[in-house]
Amino acid sequence: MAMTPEAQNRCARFVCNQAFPPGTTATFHFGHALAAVQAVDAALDVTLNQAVVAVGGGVTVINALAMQIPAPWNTGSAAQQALIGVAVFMGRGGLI
Amino acid sequence: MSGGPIFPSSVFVNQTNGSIFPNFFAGGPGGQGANAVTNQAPHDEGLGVMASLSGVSTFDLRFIVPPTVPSGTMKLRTLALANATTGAGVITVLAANVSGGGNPSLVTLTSQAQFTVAWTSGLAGMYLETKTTFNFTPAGSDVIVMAFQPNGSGWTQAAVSTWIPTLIWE
Repeated sequence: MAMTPEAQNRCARFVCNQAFPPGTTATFHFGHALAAVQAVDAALDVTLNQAVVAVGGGVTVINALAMQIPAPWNTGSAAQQALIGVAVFMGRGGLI
Repeated sequence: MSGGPIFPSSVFVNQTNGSIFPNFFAGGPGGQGANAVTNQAPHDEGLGVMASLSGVSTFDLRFIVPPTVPSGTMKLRTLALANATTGAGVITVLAANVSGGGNPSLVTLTSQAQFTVAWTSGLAGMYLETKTTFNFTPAGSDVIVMAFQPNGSGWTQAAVSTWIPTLIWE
């Protein structure tokens, strides 16, 4: 079940703080992070059958999740994209 | 004759959750860390706002008007700094003027123009200037009582930002 909007907001803030520590330039904004969090959060509730239809059976799970990240966050580094998944799992686990 | 700038004579961080704070912008981009490339004076002191702000936070500000009010229109001139190439910050301003003998904590503050500062490519570390007018005119030696409120509604800036408010007349 998808997180509440409040929980998704907390996850997006976590992502921004981790992605842009002091000394780095913020190249995405909060809305970008929130959209990515919402997309990956929703993707976690898709059945495997639906996922195979959508992305094909030859795609790894992590790449299938990454493919759900909308622009412009999908142009970020691999670590920045993985951070979205990390935040969503932590959010669902109540850690954020 | 135009006048100012006048900096706040008093700044109080009227928030305890860490969303706003006194801050020094460290210069940027490239102005922080081991690979810093800056001049000899890269830092700017100002009002700090956390990244990805939510809710409304308030800086309590006071500005003292000169005995002779400069000619022209009084404006709030704000410079904003952030190491970012995207995102926006929203500032809500409430203010009133209080004369000597008045009670600054009881005066009714009225809403002034809300403004948004947007960062785009090439604007990281640059002074972003905003000027807004007031809906009242102070007399000489009045004190401007102001609630300077970073507003989480519409705040998308994902980096810490630093804000420098002054009064000018022009």
